[in-house]
Amino acid sequence: MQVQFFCHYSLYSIKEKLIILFYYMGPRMVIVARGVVKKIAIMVFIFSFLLMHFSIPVKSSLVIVPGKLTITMPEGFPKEAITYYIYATNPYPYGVNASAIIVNPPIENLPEGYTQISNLSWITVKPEKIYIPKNSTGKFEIIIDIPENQKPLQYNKNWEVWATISDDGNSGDLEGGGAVFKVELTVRLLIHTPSSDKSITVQSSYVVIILIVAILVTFIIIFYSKKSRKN
Amino acid sequence: MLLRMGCRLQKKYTFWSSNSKKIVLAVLISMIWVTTLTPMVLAINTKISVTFDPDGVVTIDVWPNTWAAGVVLAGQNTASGAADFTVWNNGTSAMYVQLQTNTTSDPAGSGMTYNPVASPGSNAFALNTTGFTLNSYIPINAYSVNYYTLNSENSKTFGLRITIGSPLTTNYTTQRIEIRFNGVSV
Repeated sequence: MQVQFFCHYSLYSIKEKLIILFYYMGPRMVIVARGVVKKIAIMVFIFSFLLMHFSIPVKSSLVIVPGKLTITMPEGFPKEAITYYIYATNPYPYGVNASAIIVNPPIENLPEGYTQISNLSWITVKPEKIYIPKNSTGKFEIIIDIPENQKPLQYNKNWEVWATISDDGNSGDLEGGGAVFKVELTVRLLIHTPSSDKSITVQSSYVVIILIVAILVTFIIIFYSKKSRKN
Repeated sequence: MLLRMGCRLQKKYTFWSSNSKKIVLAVLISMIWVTTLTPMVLAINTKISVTFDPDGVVTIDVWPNTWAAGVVLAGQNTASGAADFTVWNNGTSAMYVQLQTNTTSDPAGSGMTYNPVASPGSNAFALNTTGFTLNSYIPINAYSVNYYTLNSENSKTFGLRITIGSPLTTNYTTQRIEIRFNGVSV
């Protein structure tokens, strides 16, 4: 009993095609060059132009910006959700479908002092799938929304979460069986939660200032009233 | 007598009228303070700054993006050339390149089971890299192991080996395996 993995002949790269072109055309050009240099040069130019525009680029996949995003909340948890855009540029000469998912990194991969997030559902990506036309840039919105009742329990945390983006642009295509390769790119999200709810402290200090001002105003009124009585 | 009383009344009246002005003025000043400070307090309550620090550009490429392993018999293995495939890091920072594969060779069903060990067993297969990361087997839930650190603008060649388990109780003909290359910024 046997398993068959059918052969697949991959396309040559631009560089390889140009090497082949000059390898075959080179000696002939030397022979004919004296009379028709210009014509040959034009032909080579045209061939090069066509090769560049009608061949599949070899070294290309989606380009993701940023690769790593550190989010810090120094003044406390904001009431609204935290949002940030991740940009994916499509370098292919055709449109691609790109998708993004939020995953927990493996524990072995976590830097020192970091943990997985308490609840992965607090981070979402919208939309999960986008179509990016050729030579264009699409964007995914990362949304961090921690429920209000959880915020008091999540101070002093350092989380790492991954947003993994994949596309169907560079996926291998086999007519038969074999192994196909798929590229995925991960954006590391490093989230630092606040050390305490400083907003309450700041707010309280403003309330104290208002109270002091009010007391001072009252004191001035009384002082001037007494002074007027004496007069 | 009347004159004295009139003078007292006048004094009282002027006292209260001047104090009333001061009270009104004080209240107005207090109101100005309150109206100035309240929005600031509310603004602090509703707008809390969040710092974002984005870093780097990630992109990796693998070529060729397919491997036709040919015919592999039960209990045997076949390998590509040790440098048949290349992975590039075209990003701006060093990256971990991590590999993972599916649990079966055919997501539609009737596929062989993936078992990343030297002897995969009945109706199973294993994949391992050669020259890439210490010839290790590609895991199912990758990420944690089998990764290679690739600096920016660098590339690495590698090969693949497939091992078919024994015995095969089904006539597996054409099988397709997906290998995912995950690029993670260091």
